[in-house]
Amino acid sequence: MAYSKPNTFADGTTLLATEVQGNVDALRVYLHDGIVQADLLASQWVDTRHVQPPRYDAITGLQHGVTGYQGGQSSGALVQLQFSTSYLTGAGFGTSLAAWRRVPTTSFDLDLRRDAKCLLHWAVEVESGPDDVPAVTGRTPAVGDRYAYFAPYVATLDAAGRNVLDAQEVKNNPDGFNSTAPLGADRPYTPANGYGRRTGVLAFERSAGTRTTCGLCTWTQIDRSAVVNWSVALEVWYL
Amino acid sequence: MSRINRARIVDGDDVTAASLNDRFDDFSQAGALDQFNTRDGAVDLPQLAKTGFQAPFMQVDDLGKSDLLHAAPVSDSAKGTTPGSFSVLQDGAANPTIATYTGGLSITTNDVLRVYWSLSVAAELSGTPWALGLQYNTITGTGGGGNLDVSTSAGCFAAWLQWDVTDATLTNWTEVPGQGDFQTLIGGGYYGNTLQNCGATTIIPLWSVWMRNVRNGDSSSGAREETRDAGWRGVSGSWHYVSGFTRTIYGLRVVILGVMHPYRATTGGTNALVHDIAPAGGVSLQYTGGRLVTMVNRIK
Repeated sequence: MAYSKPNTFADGTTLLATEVQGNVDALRVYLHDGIVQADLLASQWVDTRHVQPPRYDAITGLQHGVTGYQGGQSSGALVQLQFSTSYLTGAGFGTSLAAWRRVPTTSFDLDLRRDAKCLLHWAVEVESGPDDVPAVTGRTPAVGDRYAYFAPYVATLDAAGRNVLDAQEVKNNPDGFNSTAPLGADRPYTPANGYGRRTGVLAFERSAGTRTTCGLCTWTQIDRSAVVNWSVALEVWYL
Repeated sequence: MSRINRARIVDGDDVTAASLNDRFDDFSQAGALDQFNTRDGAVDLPQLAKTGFQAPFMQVDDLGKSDLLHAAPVSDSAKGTTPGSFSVLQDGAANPTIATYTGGLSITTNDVLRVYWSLSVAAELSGTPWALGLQYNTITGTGGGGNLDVSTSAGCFAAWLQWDVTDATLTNWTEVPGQGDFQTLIGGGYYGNTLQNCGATTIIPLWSVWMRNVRNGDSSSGAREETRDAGWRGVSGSWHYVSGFTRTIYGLRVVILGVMHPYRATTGGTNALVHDIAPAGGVSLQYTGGRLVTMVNRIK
């Protein structure tokens, strides 16, 4: 409701402090929650400087402002190299399908102030294997059929938070290590053999007032894969 | 008065009923609050009532078949006739997996349409498709060992984006702007796209071939060819579009065609990606699942 002063002053009458204070009190109420659209200049006048500037969190790499969250993290070359290993994801096969694990440092905690549309952009550059440990019971894939999977998740790592349709795999380098010098992988890492850069986008919506986590998780049939480079970037749109 | 900027009271001013009334009535003016009455940083989230203004639309659709462990993937054979006809991604039961938009998705000149997709794929090879058609080059031997054919390892499938902007019957699919249909005659009997018409294309490698025991100075002596088919892998793509006019999108889909190979019709000519039918008999593309994300952002 627009402002209307409760007391009008007239010549020849006594000026009372309570009447002046009454007008001021009404003005205070109006300015705090009484301004309506008709009170504002109709033409566009809000400039960038009028909008509350976003705050940047150097730890998470995110800025948060009136439009939502923006920002991201990256491995910084090899500074934050990560690993995916079947020793952490159970036996890496069969009944251990639920044993997805977070890729360390690739997650964000979000405190959402509005209903939001969110995009999580992710990329990993992976060297998988070499893993030529013979297949055994509980670890049935042949060495040439082992894969390291990476997928984005929201909130939980189970099927409610992580969809296998978002998962992308990197093949094992199946030939093992040389036993004589020069030591190293017996076969080269190529885009078809143990090496891969995978990128994806996870789109999701969340309600205002929820705290949630999103990031990357992994499940693998390979004893060891190095995530030599990675990056995650977040767009959260309130408006 | 178009703004509330009455001068402050100073010593010597008379206090009258009129001046007091004016000072309060300033706040009763319609349309008077503007930039002069607003401090910097005063507009925060509570003042922004709109929703769906900057990001009015988001949708996620499934592509292909959900099959994490590749138990029974979908298989699509390489095409042996040219110009080749593409295949639409499907769920393994002959149902196309596409994105549709209820009532159509309208975008204006103020919007950018953002599309992202992903898919898990693998090459299924038989014979030596990497040694056929355009798929190899010949290295001249210099040490008496003769010449050697070496695969370029550039054989691939192409996946690209189509849309239907005609009506909801979804019978008028066309390539999205910036994307060709790979049916243009490039030269030498090869059909495909020049690279500037691959704006919504994802390349899917099929194999890697490398040589071992190659003697210095003689490319063929002692050479042993090693080959790896491209195992299961995630591939992805993206496409952004700003329309010059308001238009309605009824559907989006991803289609695939192979085997493709880079090609240039003439020296100095435009690089292209063309359909090579020679290796078709030994190549299929298997795929499982992926996602198709559609988002609209307002940019002005």
